[in-house]
Amino acid sequence: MQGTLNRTKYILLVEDNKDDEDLTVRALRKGNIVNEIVITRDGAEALDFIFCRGPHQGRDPHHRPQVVLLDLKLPKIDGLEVLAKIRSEETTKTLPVVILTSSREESDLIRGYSLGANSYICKPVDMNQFTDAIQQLGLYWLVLNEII
Amino acid sequence: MIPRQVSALLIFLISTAAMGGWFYGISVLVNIRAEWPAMAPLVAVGFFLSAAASLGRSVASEKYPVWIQRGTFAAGVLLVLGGAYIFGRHFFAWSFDPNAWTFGKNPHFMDPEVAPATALCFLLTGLWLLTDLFRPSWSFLKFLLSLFVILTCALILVSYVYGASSLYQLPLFVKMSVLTAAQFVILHFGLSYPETPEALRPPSLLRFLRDKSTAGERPLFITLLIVFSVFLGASIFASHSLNRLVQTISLVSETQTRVDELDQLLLSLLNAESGQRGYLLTGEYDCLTPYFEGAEEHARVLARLREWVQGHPEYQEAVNEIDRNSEVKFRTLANNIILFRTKGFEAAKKAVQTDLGIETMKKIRQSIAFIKNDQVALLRQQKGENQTEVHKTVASLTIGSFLAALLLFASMNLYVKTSLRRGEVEEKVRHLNHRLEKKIHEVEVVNKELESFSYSVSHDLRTPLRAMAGFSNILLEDHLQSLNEEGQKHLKRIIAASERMSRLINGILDLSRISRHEVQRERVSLSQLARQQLDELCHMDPERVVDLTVEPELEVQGDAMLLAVFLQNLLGNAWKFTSKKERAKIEFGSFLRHGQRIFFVRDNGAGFDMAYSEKLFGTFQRLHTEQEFAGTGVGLATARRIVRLHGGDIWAESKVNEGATFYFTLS
Repeated sequence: MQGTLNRTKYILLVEDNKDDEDLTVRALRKGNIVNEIVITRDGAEALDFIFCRGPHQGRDPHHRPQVVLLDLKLPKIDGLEVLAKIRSEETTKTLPVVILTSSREESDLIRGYSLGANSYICKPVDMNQFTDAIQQLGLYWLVLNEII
Repeated sequence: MIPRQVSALLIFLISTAAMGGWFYGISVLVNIRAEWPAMAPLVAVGFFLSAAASLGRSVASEKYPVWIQRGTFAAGVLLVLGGAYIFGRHFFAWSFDPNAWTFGKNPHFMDPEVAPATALCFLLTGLWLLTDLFRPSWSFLKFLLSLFVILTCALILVSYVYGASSLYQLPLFVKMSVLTAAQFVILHFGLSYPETPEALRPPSLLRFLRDKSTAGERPLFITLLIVFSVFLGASIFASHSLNRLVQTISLVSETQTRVDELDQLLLSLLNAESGQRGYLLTGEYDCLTPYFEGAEEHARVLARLREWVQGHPEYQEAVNEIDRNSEVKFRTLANNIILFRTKGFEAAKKAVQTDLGIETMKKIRQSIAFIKNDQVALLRQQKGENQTEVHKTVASLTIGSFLAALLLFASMNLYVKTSLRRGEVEEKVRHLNHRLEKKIHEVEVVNKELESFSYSVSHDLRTPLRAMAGFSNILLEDHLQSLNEEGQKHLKRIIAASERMSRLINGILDLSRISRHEVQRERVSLSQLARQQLDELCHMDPERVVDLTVEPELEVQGDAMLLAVFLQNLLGNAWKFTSKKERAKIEFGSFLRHGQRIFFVRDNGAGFDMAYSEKLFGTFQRLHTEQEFAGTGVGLATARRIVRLHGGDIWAESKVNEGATFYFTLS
């Protein structure tokens, strides 16, 4: 891959709930993460963005996000389906995907990991905990983790 | 094992009684009925040997002790050789008679004979013992040997019951005694029954009569039993009637012969007389033929009569009379013939005209009539008896068959009824099963709906909750200045409430997940779990000084995950409610009561008022305020559900401020 050093690191956040979106963004900013946060509202839009089609046709496919924060309960196309799609294409197979969701149901955990999620994080109700979680998350995936 | 010992004991008893009978001349012990063949004492010895071997076989369960092995071997060889020799003796006339040699000296032991069938059965018994000794796995051969002996001797026993003496006196079955036959059946039943495969054994009658599920079939069985008894009784009665019938027929024929002979006697005399007369009239020598024939026949018949009268002394005198007078008559006839030959017709005619001939004849007729009248009367009586027996036999056959047919018809009806009922019952069972399957399906559907409900709860309820808590926090952080102290306090309470709601939702979800969980049983070390969890609690709160006691090696059969949650609840509670004590004490142990193991978690914490102990395990029930001790009130409800899923129970005792003890059992 050439020239990733010049490209800015960004996060793709797939979240349909405005409240959660605001809280997540706020938490990231509070953690001094200044990178761009791209937001898609549903599964279809997320896939369009990732595969550079539809409204996102002109996007550079090599400019991949550092990490995809994926909610599970999404309109149009479900979060797990998005994950499956991501993992099924050669170009996006290695994209880091963190499932960020309210559900702690074991079935979702199992399905998420078996479909190839890199991480599974439960959104806590407690604000402080939530902020801490998001900050740790952001620091790890944006600063520490190396991607292709 | 028990059949062997019982059978051996029975045989010992019977054979000992028979030997006693021989020694003391008590015939009933030896042949039961006088006309039946007696059991020879040598046979009794053979049975002692066999019964002893059978006992030896029953004592040794798997491996024979050596002396029993040797004894059985000796017995087997003796029986085989002895049986073969005696069997062969019937065909080859060997001289040595073991019977006479051993028992001949005692006056009572005269003429004991060992039937060839008996010898054969002893031979087979010996073979059975030897097969069992050297090839115990050849159970089919042993079964066949025993089967042959049992069937043969059972047939002989049946022939005794039916009075069919022709069977037990057939050449091969010559005179096997009823005691011998019975003992063979008992012996081989005891030998082979324990090893008979289940499929060949008769079904358990006791279970059939006692089991509730077969109650409907019992009337049919009883009717069939009655049919069987009627048929058996009727056939035995008919058989004996037939025997008697045959006897009366032979009696009638005997008496008829007698009457005929008496007539022949008279006829022969008349023939002789007419022959003489013819000769006197014609002078032809040929006319004398009836005379000679008559004389010959007379002599023959008289001889037979004389033989018969030896058994009937009341007619001796009459027969003597006939003899004497006949002699006179024949002499007279002879004299007349000679007279004719020598002196001519006139002289003979004069002699015939004398009364002597007629007188003699009259006397002879009288004597003959004397006997004949009795015999004719007897004949009539015997014919009457014969008729009676015929009627009896026919009646018993007819009535027996009719009764049996009637009862069989009744049984057929019962059978049809029982089958119909069984069909109905099966139909009902099928219907119930179908309904059950439908209900199960419904329950599964409801369960699925419950699962998706929980899923929605966990996902969808939390999201707005998070927004509430989140934005309240944002307010607190970013807009602190806009709010006064009062406002801030209110906000904090909103945040606390939403956090509590989140915990409540978690509690509900945990509880429902417990119920949906399938209990998997495996060995779980409660001691190990308890120690791990207490360690964690200490780790999370290192400042606390707690006295911990965990009884080691407490293991149960249960679901590892559920039990972990369970202990977590109890120990967490103990930890929580002792947090205000300086020196906290938590103990986990067990004890036995009435053979059941009871576990407990004891602490010396805040305790609770026993008056409210009913509410302890209720969902969301709390006995303390949130300020005193934080909690959802779901922990103990969860604990009880887990314990109940394992088939156990949980209860508690406490005194306020003196701590609490939670007892529980698992199945």
